[in-house]
Amino acid sequence: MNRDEFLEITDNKTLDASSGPVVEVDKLKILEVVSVLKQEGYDMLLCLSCVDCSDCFEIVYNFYSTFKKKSLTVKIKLDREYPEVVSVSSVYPCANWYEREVFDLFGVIFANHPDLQRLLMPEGWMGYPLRKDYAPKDSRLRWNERR
Amino acid sequence: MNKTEILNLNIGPQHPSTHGVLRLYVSLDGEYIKDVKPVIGYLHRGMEKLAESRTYAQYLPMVDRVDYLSGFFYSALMCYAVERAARIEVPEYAEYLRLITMELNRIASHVLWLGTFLLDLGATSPLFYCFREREDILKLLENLTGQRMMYNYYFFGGVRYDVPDGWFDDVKRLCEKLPFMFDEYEKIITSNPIFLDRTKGIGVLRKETAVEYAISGANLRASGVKFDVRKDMPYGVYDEINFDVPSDVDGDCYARYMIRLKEMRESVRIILQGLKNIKDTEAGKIYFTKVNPLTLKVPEGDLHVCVEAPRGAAMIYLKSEGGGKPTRIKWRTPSFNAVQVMPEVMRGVLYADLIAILGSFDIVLPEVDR
Repeated sequence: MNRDEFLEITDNKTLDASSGPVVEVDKLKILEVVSVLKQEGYDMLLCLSCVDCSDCFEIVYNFYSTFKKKSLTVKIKLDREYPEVVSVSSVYPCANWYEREVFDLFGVIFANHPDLQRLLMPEGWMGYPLRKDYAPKDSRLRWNERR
Repeated sequence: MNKTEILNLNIGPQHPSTHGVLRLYVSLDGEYIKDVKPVIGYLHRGMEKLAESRTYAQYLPMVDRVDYLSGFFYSALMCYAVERAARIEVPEYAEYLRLITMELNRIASHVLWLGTFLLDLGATSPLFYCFREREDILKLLENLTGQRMMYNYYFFGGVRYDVPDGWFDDVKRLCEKLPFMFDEYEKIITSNPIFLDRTKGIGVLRKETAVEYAISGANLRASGVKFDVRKDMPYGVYDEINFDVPSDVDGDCYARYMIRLKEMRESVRIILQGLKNIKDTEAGKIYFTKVNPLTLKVPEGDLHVCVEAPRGAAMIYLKSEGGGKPTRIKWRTPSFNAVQVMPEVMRGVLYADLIAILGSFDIVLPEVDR
């Protein structure tokens, strides 16, 4: 992503103040994109979340610029079978724990991550709890379902 | 013969000064801290997973428990997210009620922080002063919602009950009293030489580090960045209220203390303005838009909503596939980042300052682990 493309995207009218414009990029380009974003003044990575959309994983980065007072959301799609993407913790140090959390709960592998271990669940936990297909027969997860 | 050895020490998970269940794995070189490794997850309750099997109305009462000291803010996040996504209008009267209760909650949370922070530093008496004011606020909130901490007061489209008779007068009376109480704290604490020795220049968080680690709230403003969600991404009726955002450049424990004290005074100002403005909207006294919790469906889509919680910028990411249950809810909690930055702040400081630094960041562990 070069500077002109970037300006074109971010000049779009903001729909929601907290989400800002939403940009979908290719997963192979993510490190390049976030480096440009950091240079352009989006100095804070406020939130990094992952969504399990049954056929893929979607990673959502929410950036905020403390100079421009603007938000921006970047989304990437990952393969459901082999979810792997490069880590952005070299650009935004706070991504270190965000990515560990996503690895812990979704099993997404972040390449070049300095310390990819479970964060919230105990060590040696089986499976990835926030995946939609996690322990579907466990009655404890179903007690409140209306049939 | 001089031989040195690194001593590894475990602080917590069960420790009175970690404000919950936090484990710090500390490497000590004599009295100095070489490295800290925070270990979290002891309070993980699976809030995000639980959301997936519940309807929006069923999930709402649990949301208060994300942070037990500032329940209103997380309820508000959930409500704002669903209201924006499902396009539910909120009456102005209800928005002002939310503003007043949230700011009262902010003062209660900061006052509790002040008491426990000084307790961490070894001063026992301020705790009693702080709990005296907190009790007054909690009584008012109990009067309104029937609960002292887990309020469950907001609902999609407004609030659950109207105020009891004379409640606004009680709030006004309290708000006129509070600044004198803050003066009293300042008299005991602010120029106390022991307090100054323990906080001035201790635990300096540099501006660049703070921004890189996405620290927010009073911790960030103490380091010199004026970022306040109430000003920069206004929600509710905050854009009609006139208030200042205090900031400092030192980034040490003392600056964080001063910022929080000033914030409490600003909160009082906000509440008084809210009380004044609510008089104009009181005519109809419509405090909710009717929403049927059993048939509430949120259209397909996703959005982020951000509010300024007492500990910083709290955020919800809500994704819906059009049904009555959320597909994904993600909580962005400010304390999570504050714990993550601990090694950067603590490297090279004396072991005795560790608890002072930890206390000054106002960390609440249920919020870190969710």
